[in-house]
Amino acid sequence: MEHPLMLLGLLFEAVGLGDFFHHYPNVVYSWLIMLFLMVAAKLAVGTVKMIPAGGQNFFEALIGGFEDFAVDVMGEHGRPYYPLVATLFIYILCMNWMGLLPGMFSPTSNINTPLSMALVVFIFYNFIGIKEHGFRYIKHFLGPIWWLSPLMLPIELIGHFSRILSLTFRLFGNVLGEDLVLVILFVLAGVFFAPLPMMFLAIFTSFVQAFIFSLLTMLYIAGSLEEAH
Amino acid sequence: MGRFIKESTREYLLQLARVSSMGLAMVIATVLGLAAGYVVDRYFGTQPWGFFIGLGMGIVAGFRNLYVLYKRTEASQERMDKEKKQGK
Repeated sequence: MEHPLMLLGLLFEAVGLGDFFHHYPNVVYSWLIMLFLMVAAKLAVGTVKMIPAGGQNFFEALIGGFEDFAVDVMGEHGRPYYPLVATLFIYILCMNWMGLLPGMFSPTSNINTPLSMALVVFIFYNFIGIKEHGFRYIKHFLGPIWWLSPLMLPIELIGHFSRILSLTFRLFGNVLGEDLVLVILFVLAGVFFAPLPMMFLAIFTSFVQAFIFSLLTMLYIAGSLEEAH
Repeated sequence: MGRFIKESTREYLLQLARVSSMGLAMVIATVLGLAAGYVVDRYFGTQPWGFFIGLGMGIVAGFRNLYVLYKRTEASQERMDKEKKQGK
């Protein structure tokens, strides 16, 4: 889909990298988000104070709250793994919300961005399972009854691989649909601010999608942490 | 969250995540099984068999996904009901 106007595109064309930008706008915009997050974090907690103020307060509430929530869901064993989940949540949320700004673009509305994150999640939770259980992790794939295990192995493998695709398609489809609705409403009746009510809804759905992505990540990690049935 | 989200809200959110992935989990598992069977056919030349066995595996995997999600949701619902009774 060709976006009507992208501000960063003008910048990149001025430098002479227009070709790269028009091939991979999602990569460029996710770099922008990474830069924004790094600068914001540096500004807020560059100098950690005993009595937090301003940005540090905000980040402490966000990260601390998320840590409590993640530990509630995953159990005490999951505490070392919550940074990945919290990072994914904040990163996806920023990417989803960026599509609502005029002249910007949601990197998540290109299928490659959600796919990359889903692959990270898939590899990570299997790695955790192997690290926690060693070779016995294979019991997660063999089902409850031992003589049914040759039949259960391919079924479970399909089930696990379908997680990658379901994470990818849920995020990609929702964000792309939201962006398309905004663009169509803008083309049809932009003069009367028709996309405005939809934008309020989009703020909410963006949040829900980011939250569900991180929640499912937690559920998968919790699933690979627990003993096989 | 944690300190901002109540326990019952947390359970509702978990249920939302599980239930909203039900439809996708079933369809994608079916299509994945079918695709795997098709690829096996292409490489080994076992024309109709891989396709149909893969399709069957995919359908079974889809329904198993549904069953697991349903079991988890039911367990969380029961936990919530018990907590509600204790609260009263």
